Amino acid sequence: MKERIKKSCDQILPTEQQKKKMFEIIVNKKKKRGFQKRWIIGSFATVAVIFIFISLQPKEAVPKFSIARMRIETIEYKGKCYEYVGFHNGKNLKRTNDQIMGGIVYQIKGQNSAIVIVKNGEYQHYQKCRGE
Amino acid sequence: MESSLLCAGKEITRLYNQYVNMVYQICFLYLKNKEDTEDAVQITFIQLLKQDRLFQNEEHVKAWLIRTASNICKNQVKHWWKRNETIDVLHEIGVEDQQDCTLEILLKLPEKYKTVIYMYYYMGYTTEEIAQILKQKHTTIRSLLSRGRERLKIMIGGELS
Repeated sequence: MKERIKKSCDQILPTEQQKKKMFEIIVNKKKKRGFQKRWIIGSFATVAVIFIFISLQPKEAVPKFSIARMRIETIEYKGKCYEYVGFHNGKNLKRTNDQIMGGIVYQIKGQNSAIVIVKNGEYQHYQKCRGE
Repeated sequence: MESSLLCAGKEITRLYNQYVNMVYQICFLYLKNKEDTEDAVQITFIQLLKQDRLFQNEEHVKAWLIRTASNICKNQVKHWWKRNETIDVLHEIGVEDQQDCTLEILLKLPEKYKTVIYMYYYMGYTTEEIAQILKQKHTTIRSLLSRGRERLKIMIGGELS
């Protein structure tokens, strides 16, 4: 049995070409192994670029558009932030000369914290953002 | 061998040249095709390169390679897509003389018997040594060898003695 098994196993041998190919791959993989210097530099560079990009963003409030409600959620009016609360019934409004995004700005009588923007016949009620 | 074997590139080349055939044979017995065997051999030697441990002697390295190679192959064989794979093994290794079916039968043996049979019959290790290398009980190795031998006999048709 020993002889036959030996003979059988002797048939399973890699060729010189195979050995060479495998060794090259092993050595190359070894070289690439580990967290290389260039990855560290690359990571730092990426973080730095992202940080610069964020810090250079315009500080003015950018209107946020909600796809779910199909409304602009926050707007800026006279340097203050207003957020959308819903439709207004159109009563007790006082027209101003201001316009935002093509809509006329109305103020609600007796309320300083809210405005109504009338656009295409719709009364959109905005209130000062929380924390303002 | 006082210091790590892996400290020098020359040492790696020497170990590769010395043991590549052995690792290749072990892997082929499990995987039965050239491509997977080559991959497994590469993984085994890459793991050897990654090793930080100190090997006590040449036998220690050899034992580590045998154990690692068979573990890597066992993991590969476990993949579901490997289980149903059928390959013309003799064609794979370019064997033209198909009269001796021992190799084909050896490859058909269940995985657990292959390493033991290979180590006992081909490499000439004793059952105690195999138990030490594979970190298993001596009695387990003896039973695996005995059952493997029985299976071989049955599969070959009792012509082996």
